[in-house]
Amino acid sequence: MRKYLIQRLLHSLVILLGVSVLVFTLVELAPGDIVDSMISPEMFVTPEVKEQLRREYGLDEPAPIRYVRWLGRAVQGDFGYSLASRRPIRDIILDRLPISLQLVGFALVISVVLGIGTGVIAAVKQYSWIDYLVTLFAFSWLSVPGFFLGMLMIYIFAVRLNWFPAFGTSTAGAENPFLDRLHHLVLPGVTLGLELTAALTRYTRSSLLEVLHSDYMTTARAKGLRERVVIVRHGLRNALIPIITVIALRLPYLISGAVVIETVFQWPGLGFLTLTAANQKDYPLIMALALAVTVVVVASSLIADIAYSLVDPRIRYGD
Amino acid sequence: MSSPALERVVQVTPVTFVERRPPGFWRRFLRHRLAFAGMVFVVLVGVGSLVAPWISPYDPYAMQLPDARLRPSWDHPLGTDNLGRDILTRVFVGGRISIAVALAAVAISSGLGTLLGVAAGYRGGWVDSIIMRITDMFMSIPMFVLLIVLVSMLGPSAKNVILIIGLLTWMGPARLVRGQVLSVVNEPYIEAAIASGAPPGRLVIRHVLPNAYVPVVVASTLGVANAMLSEAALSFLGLGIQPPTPSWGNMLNAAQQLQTLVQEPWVWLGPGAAIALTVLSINFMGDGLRDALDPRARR
Repeated sequence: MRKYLIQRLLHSLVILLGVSVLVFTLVELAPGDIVDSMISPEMFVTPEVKEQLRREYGLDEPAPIRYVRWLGRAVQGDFGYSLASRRPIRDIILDRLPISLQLVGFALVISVVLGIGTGVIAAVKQYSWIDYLVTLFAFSWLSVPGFFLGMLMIYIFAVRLNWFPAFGTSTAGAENPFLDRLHHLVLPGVTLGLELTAALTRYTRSSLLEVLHSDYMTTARAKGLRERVVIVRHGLRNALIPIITVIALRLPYLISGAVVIETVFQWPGLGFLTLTAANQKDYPLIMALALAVTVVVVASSLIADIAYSLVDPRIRYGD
Repeated sequence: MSSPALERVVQVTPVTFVERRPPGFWRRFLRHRLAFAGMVFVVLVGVGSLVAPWISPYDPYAMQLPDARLRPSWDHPLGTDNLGRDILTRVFVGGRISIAVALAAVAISSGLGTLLGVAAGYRGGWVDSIIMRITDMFMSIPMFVLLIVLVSMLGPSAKNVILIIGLLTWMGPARLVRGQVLSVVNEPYIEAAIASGAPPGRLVIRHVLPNAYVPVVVASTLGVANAMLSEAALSFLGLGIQPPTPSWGNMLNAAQQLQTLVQEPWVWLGPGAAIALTVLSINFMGDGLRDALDPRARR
């Protein structure tokens, strides 16, 4: 087990190193001189001054040396300054991170509850009308683009029915800030979570169906256990194992989806920031964001792999 | 030397092995009712987008300000946008670019994926481990974030969108092909081909790929649907196909203004439904193809 863990950790590190090289190279290849973007356009600057600036910031050194320096600082959480706002990138990201985490976390909880719930119902009542309905819906949601779904949600639930607020994270002067935030989370959270919900419904259904006819289920029934206990304690518990992997594998999609959904609902998180940074060609910020997001994804797939081995005693790595 | 009876056997055997696909492909595909409906819809949209400019009485580009923001009616079945252009005409013309971009991107990703997958699976060893490590790396970056970064660097245009989507989505096909090649290389008929002195290139093209293409066809079909969604999302964010050329995504970009979103829902309902229904149809087709091409893989 320990050998597997170390191997798995090294593997993750190699991936992260590769991604950092990739991101650095991309920014190197980006058009435009970075010195030009540090000087305000109204100022006239002689080439000599530019040259001095270049030396001051260490931009005159070869790319590999600059890469190692950048990486050394990035590991300590220092990503330099944003070109657009001149603030330290770390502060900007730390400002926005909790706002994004609330949205992604809410979406994750909703899709796990809804997805596994509907998947179990569909599997238990296989070939009934409710199974067909759930399967059809799950298939359809995977085809509807998130931004279109978001606009539909805003139009129906915010404009027409006026049940939920459409934009932003809070109302100024709300009596209960926590409930107010939840109220604002519903529409973007549900929209973001629906794709994962659909995926989880499909996987839960097929995973539970595979388990449902195994011998130990018959044994559990023969022992006289109630049907609900048989399904949840004996069936679902075994069916859940592959579902953990699905959640980890789908996490990049959830984060990608947040870029679009945060834009539609004007939710000021990291996704919204990514789009702004791309439009302003704020390359140091983009670089930091891409790297930060990849770290989250690689870490969660590592955790999923470890969780996998903890949940399923049949899996033994190495020994 | 040889008896006439043996000669007859030698002549007859090739005929029985010519059939590559299991018989009844079309019958099985058509029996999948949703796949058939999906195919009909995709064909309608495809043909419609090709002929729309000649059939429609409206110009998809010319401003017609007196007709701006008309509700759906007999003259304009999906209404008009803020510049007075007929939305139905623009949905069909936009279908051209959305479908073309998706097909071209998938051609790139499937081609590249097949190449890398064959190289990894067939050569094995260090070639395999390097290719698979790079695949892992690309798979762990959130694709859409990288898409946005690259498009913002290279500039938004149809050509760049095709290239970038194509070059960022080869990992799925590569893994699939590698797996298929690995499952095929130990079959006796490959050994026979090697023994008969077939050169590696010919061996791969004539013997390995024909027996490994089924999952690739299915994955490419689903890939078209995903590429369409990526292009639409990019164009929606203003980073994809640029106006005045209509694409389904950038028609929804215009609808981000609050007034359009709230008071003129027909402006975005039409193109949005076009994306959703087309992607759904292609996904159904992929499902049907899987069942029809590979009868063993009944889920």
